Amino acid sequence: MKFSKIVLAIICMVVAPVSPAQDGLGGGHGAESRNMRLAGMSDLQGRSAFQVVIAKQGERWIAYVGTHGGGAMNPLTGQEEGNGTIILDVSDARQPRIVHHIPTASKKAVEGGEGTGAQMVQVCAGKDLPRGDPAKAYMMRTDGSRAHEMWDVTVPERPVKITDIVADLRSTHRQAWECDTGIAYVNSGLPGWEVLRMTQAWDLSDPAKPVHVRDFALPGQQPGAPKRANRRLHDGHGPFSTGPKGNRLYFGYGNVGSGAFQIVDREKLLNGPKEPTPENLLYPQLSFQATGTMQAVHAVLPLIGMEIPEYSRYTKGRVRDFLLVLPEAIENECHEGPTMMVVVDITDERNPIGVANFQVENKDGRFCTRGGRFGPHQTQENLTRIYHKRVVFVAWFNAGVRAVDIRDPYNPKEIGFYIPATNKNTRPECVKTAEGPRCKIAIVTNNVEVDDRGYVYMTDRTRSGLHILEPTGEVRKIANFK
Amino acid sequence: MPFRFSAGACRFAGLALTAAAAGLLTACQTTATQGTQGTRDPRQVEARNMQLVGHNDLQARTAYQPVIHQQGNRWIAYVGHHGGVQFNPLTGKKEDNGTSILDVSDPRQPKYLAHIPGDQGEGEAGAAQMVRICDGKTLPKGDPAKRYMLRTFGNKGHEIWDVTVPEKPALLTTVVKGLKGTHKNWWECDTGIAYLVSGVQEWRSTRMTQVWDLSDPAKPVHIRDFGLAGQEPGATGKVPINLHGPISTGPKGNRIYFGYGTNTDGVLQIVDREKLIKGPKEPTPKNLLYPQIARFELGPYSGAHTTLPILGMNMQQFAKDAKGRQRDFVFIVNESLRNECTEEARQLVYVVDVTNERTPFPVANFDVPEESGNFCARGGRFGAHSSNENQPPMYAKRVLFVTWFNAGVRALDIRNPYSPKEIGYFIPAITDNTVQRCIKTPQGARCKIEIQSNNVEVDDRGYIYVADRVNTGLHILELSGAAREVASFK
Repeated sequence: MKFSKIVLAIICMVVAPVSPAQDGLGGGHGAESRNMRLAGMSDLQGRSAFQVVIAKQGERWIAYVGTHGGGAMNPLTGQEEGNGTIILDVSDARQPRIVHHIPTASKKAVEGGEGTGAQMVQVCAGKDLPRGDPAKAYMMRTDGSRAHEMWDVTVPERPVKITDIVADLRSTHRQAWECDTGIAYVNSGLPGWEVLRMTQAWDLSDPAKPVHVRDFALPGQQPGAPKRANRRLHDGHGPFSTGPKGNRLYFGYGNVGSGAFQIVDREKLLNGPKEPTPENLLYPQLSFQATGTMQAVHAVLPLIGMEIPEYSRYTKGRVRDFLLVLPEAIENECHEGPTMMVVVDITDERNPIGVANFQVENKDGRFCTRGGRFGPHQTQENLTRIYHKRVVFVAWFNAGVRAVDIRDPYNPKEIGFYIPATNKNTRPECVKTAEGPRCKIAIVTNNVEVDDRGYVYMTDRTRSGLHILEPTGEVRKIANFK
Repeated sequence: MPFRFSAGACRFAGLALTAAAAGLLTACQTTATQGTQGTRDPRQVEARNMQLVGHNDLQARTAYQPVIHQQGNRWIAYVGHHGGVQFNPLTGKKEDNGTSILDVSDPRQPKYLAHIPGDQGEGEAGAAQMVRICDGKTLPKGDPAKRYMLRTFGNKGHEIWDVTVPEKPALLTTVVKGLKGTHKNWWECDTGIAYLVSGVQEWRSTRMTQVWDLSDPAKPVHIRDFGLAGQEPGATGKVPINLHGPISTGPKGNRIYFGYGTNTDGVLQIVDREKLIKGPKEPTPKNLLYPQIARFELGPYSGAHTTLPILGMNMQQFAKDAKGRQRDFVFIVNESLRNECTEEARQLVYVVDVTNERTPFPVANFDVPEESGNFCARGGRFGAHSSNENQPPMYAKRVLFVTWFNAGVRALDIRNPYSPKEIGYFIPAITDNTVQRCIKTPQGARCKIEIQSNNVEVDDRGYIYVADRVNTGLHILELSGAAREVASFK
């Protein structure tokens, strides 16, 4: 062995305590971390995973994981099953245990494909919903591009489907379900609309009896509007709701390029005139902000009422509202424009202004060459007081999950990160070259969420599973574990 | 901890021994004493990676805009003043503040050549705040042997002076008078087109734009009046915020970046220069909108004093990205107006991505941490005001200087506009000339004496000129240490 290789091996041992799992195709890689450590891991049966939400049910902590298309063996049933919803008991975060998989018909779908599997999932307790059964727990999920479904998950081991909320769709995507009111905003593709992804508001206060409230999109996307050259321009990505108290919905728009976000009056959306005319679609809008040359807006996270320590001695402008705006990296190996998280001051919500950005340091373009996508995708959405307005975790594809100190929104700072090791399930990601496809094996962290205990959950798009993390060092210090 | 050294001693050294001045400056630094929190003496300089080269007291006049111009083998600085009256030792008379003219060929010994009195009045009301210089040989129809100075006359008008012999400036012509406001002009020397910040009587705002053809400085030709739609005569509703000043990229870039507002309701307006100059001139809302490419609003907490375009930045960090490697930016510098952080929000620098110029979107900010100098309590204004506009090769796309009132001038590394970083600063020492700034308290006025660095400009040699609002004069600086490495001095 040459000296340089020995040095490299030593460096690898230091940087990557978990040894590389695989040789050959791009080799895969070990874990890398700072101020975050692995608590537990599930292989998710080798399924390509998307959204993860965690609910406390009685004394148990249950994780629900949505998946992209494809299929895999479910050892619990002994069957090959199309990717659907994986339900895990994570009460002991060190030993997450899969208790059930609800399949879909996506077995033959493109592995990791969009619009198949059951990408999205939301959970509400019956006791929180205005007309739910207090003894029950409910799960809403997408079924491919076909439908939004309602399930009874009171016993996570034995979920029972209650009803299709809406079916025969062309597309589904993000869902947001207010547990205290039962109002849900689901991303649907309705025939006739001049856009693939728009929003439907549903009253799911009684989960067994969904009531349609209205359909919503940008003016120009409504049925009967003139045909657009790019039907996916300003595709909806679903809103973040602050509920009846905050009375705001924050919508992200865009698929690739030409992103925008929109601030909407929730009350006016729900109770305003519902006929999808341009006037009625504009009625609840407070502002619409294009995000320049940035990519589309995939995810948003409002941080309302931030006290800015730096401005504590000022008579004006000490308390500000912000919106974190995240595009989605789409192409592998940086075959697109750079993507970043932007912090937007929405104190004057009719006139949002960007104030800062956060990027993962990409020295020498190292993340552009290791394989898979590099860029942001999404943040945690659970506003637990442990992390809210303090630490934002951002899923950054091949850069894993990044912990960002957001206490001074003008200066977001990275304080930790975790990139899991690849494993035997990790699927190679490819780019086209003149000589044909070139593929590499790398982690592609898709989504991140936190639970009310402070555990951080990250899912992998390339089938490496679910990693449960706990903060250490500075991340733990900045979080509020009191 | 910043090093502090006595500016007075350095100045004395510079006056006494020109040849040895540089060496003594170093000595000043090496004998610097470290200050301690709570015992700060405003008669001590605070600095990091910037050092004093020379100083002139500007006859204790409150100073606004410095512009430095090479005239033959000489370097001449022109400094616009706010209103006031001071004694001019060259004439032996008390004169209303106007324009100071200095020979800064040796920046260690700036030499005061002439003072052209301005209009009567205090503060922003009188004097001659703004100044621009063009050579006759550059102007299409100028006298090649001459040099011309465009300046404001109070809030009433704009004048052109012959400054071929800087010691003996002569009024050439009054471009326009009878105005109700003036401010920061822009003059394209290669075309002669000037964008004068004027308050035309019939217009609804005191600061809007007049476009003039000054290609023959002796014969100004009015082209049109311009402003934000809603500022024009006869409009109704709320009047859009006053203009602060434009920066033109000339016929080649074909863009003008207008900044409106000081500490509130800022607007960045991007305008098609060709359409502005040649489009329909009648001030109707439609005609005013015709050359407008974008109007970006900064909301209730920030103004837009300087809107400096930094175009065609090659983004090193995006070198491996397939798209978007080259970006265009505008640095918007807000202006703090109030003393001791009262009655306004923090004024800072916004970095706006204008690659897609129809949808400008800020992506970063630069601010000076208040705690780093206890600046809110120090006295006077604290916050951004103005950046240098001259972009010589050693600084272009690399280093930007921004005045920050009581925090002096700050040097920013802007090579990555997504993350501007401070690499140096200089807060001059106050002198016996420095005047106080006050705030109202229930017990009456409380006043403090502190530096108020007002405007900054650089010359083509790389010297940095900082003008003080509270009569401390003009400080000529240079970068040192790690900050000098960021610049490109070859």
